[in-house]
Amino acid sequence: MNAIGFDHPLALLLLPLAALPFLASPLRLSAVPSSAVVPEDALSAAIGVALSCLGALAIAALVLGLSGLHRRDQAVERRGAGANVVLLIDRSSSMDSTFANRSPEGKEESKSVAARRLLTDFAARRPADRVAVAAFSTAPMPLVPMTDHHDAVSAAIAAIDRPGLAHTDVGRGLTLAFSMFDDTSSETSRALVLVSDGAAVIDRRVQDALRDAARRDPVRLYWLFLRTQGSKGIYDRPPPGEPDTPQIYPERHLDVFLKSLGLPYRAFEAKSAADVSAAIREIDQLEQRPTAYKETIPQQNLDWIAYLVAAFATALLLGAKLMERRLDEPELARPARTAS
Amino acid sequence: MNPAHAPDGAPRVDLPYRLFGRARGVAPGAHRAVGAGANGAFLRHASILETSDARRIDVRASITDPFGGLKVRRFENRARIDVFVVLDLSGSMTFGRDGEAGDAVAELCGAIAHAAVRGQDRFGMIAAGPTERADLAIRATRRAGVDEDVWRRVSANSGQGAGVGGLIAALDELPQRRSLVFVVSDFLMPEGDVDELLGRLWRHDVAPIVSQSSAVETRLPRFGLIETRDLETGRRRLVVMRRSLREKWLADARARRAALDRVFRRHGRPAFDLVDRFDADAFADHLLSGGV
Repeated sequence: MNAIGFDHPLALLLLPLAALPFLASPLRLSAVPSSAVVPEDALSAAIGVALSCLGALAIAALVLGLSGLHRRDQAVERRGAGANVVLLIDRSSSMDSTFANRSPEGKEESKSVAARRLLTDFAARRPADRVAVAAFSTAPMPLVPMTDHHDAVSAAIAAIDRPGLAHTDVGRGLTLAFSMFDDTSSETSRALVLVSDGAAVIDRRVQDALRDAARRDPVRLYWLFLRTQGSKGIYDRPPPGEPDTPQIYPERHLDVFLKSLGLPYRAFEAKSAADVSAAIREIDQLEQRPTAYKETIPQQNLDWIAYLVAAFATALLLGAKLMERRLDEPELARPARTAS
Repeated sequence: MNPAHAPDGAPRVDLPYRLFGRARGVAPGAHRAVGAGANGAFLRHASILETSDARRIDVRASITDPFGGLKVRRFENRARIDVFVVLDLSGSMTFGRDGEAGDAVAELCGAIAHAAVRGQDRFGMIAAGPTERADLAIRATRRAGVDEDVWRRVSANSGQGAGVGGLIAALDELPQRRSLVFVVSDFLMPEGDVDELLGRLWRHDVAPIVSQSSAVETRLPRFGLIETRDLETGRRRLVVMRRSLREKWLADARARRAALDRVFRRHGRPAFDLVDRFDADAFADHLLSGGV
């Protein structure tokens, strides 16, 4: 791909005008009877060539500027230490309450606000990541596909503290998240971070689909569980005698299911914003693998450079013009002497 | 007649030019000629046996002659000569001829023509550049008004072209008899051409006149960018004038003039420098002193 482009390529037809300075001179000519009276001088010859070249440069740069010289947008392959991360974020309404399961008052933070704050930091700390963001509640919502554009990622993360919806459909959310890894992300650096404050029963069929997906796209799985006060934890076992069903202990069973996928998996149970912060920092440390990510450099106008070059060359030519003298200048005329 | 020149123009003066050596020819004139005659300045005594001219017996010399012979006074012949201007009209001679100071070359040619006719001599001109210019040639003549004619023709014709091939070829038109030839040129040509030009004039008394301009010889700007154009070839060159280059330029001009002078002395007399304008008095001085 050609890296240089022009807004008005037709203006380039003026480019042959750059040959003009080699045919004409900006200085007024002084006639001499013969070149023999002018001593040979290397400096003069060099400056003469330089002036012609400056004139050609000025005209060429002006033409390039007029034709709208720009560098086309380019994708640059970068390497860094990071990961291809899919953030799967719970958007159920329970996220809008605090860790104490109250509506936030005063300085209190809701879980979603804390998650937003900490995830924003997380994304900002890791410039080499490619990040995708998806949310789920009643239905999964892809927010940002796998991208290098951290502005888009931050915006997507910033949007997760909007008031949420009712249900928590973890299974379909996970399916979506698995599908968001694209071919360009290398397999070794894929990570899926599930942020939720609860779990739900995963349908059998969805479970099968997830198992398939996990075999197809092996990822490292992190579950950041924002445990609300009084709710059941990941590791809560039912007391003896009580039935151990996913309906009653969805968190425990989701954990069991995720473990059963055969993927590198870690669960973090966070009871406060500080726990969330510690968990995220741990994920941050774990996910430092060499990644190749593409950075798109937008189109960049270069015409200002062309105009700058033209202005520079023209200024030099102006200086030369101001230094111009002629051999037969009248103010230098003195009474002519006649040798005897 | 050119109105700028018409009423008074440059005042014409008589120029004391002389032919080196004795003139040949029978037409009476103002120059010492070969042979002895019956009129003019005293030359020598001769025996009446060899010159039977009884009217010019010198009695005193005859009486005082110890051998008792009769002495007859002999007088030197005076003859007229042909004065020619050989004018280089190559492109370089265009330089400096359209200024306010007037056309120095035309003034010079007019003055020589005037002085020649006034001095009972004949005037002729050959002007050519790289090609022969038959329209500018004037045969040796004593016609009145030839000076105006010459002035007008030279003023109206600035040079063109490169080289002096036509001029060298046209030198064959000069008469065989020894004449005084003023060679007017800037001599900005290869030294071989100068030698060729002057060598072809071996038969004549050659008085070179070097047309110069102080604008390119001495009156140079001290600093600045100068773009020069060669009047003959049209070649452009940029010059960054500065102290060292100015000195080199002036030294080159002096060296060129000195080299020319050596060539001129080999072929006859030193040259007269026609700088910027024609100064008749300086020219007369030069002719009187022989350029020394």
